[in-house]
Amino acid sequence: MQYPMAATTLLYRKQPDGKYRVKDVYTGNSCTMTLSLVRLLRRLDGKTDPYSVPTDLTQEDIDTSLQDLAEIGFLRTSRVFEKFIGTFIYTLWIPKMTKKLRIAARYYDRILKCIWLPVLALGVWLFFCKKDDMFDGYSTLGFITGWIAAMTAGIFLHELSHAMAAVACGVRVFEGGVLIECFMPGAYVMLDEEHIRCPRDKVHIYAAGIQMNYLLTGLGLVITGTFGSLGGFWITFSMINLLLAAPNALFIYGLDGYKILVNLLGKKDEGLFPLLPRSTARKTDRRTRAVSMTANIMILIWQIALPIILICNVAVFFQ
Amino acid sequence: MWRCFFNENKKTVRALLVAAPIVCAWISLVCYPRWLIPLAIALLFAAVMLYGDRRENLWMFVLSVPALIPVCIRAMPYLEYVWSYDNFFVNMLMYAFVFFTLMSILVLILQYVTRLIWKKQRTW
Repeated sequence: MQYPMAATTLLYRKQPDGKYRVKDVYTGNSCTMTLSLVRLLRRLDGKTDPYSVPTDLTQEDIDTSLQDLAEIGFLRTSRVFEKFIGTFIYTLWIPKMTKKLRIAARYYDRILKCIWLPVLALGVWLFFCKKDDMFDGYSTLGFITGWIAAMTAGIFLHELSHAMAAVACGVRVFEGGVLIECFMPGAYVMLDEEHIRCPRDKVHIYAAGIQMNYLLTGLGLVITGTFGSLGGFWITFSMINLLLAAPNALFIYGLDGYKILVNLLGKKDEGLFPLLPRSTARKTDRRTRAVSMTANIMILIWQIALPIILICNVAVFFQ
Repeated sequence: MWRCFFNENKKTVRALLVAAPIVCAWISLVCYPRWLIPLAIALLFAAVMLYGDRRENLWMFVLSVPALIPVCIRAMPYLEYVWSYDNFFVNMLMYAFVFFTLMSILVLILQYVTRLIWKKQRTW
């Protein structure tokens, strides 16, 4: 980047004294700024010269402000961001919340919501009807190309569905891109999750990614059942998408399934032990406490058992 | 007479109603009458409706997990194509993985339906 760029995860809130409270949602850093500095910061997109921005700040003010902003971590000099060793983030998409994007997101979201289940059901039905012919002409080339296509399309469309569902619900999407987390490649979207008030919207946003993977699974199975598997390409495509969708629905901390469950259960925060009784819960009757404790134990067992099973499966798969 | 009976044996009736869906589901696994599965699910909703106390989703979660275990065990042979392998160890791991995945999806569906029916619930 030629010029400095403001971090995409900044939230601006006007205060009664006319100044602005700026908070980086990602790092948690915050500070108070004047309106002219906020104007300057908002214009910094990596392509604009900071000195050409029309503000009432002098050149010296701009210099010192840029230094201060960089120290707080509000400025980025590159699209690549290193979190810690082995974990890199590369920003590909910084959405602008335009009217067109909102309309597109609404349609995308509605279509996804309406068609994912019928397509999946049709695909599964075709699979069970023609399961003996499904693997006809299966080849290594078909497997490899299918695997690459499924991983690329599955991961990107999964994240895009989260983003579109968020935009459709009126939630701000900060950015999206690719990442390497602990040397494992993936993709991400950063949402303003703190300001999603309605748990129903949260459930909807978290479920959108899984729905998209199931849709792709169904699509692959429908194409295989109708036109053949193209040397194993489509069947591999659908199976890999199923493998992306199914573990995501498990109740493991950090996965979409866990977040959906926690929000459906009505817990306010999505901590690791979502149902541990708080001080208010202690005042409730004995029966409620017993139910809450049972739910805790169940969640705990799932948290221990599921990752072990998942890791063992991955280990066996790579053997 | 019935009212008197219910008042006298309130705790027993409650325990029976709460245990009914789980018992129904487990009987369906042992004796194979299929109609017991929808009955168990209907009883789950009935128990949640009676004793939910504005925490219906929490009750549904606690009751649905033991009730769905036999349902998933019954459904597993239909998914043999996915988890069946030659190696016993791989077979076992894949069985567990598919089993838990199926159960997670069923629990999520029940949770979603419960939230649709009882929208106003207490938060935790």
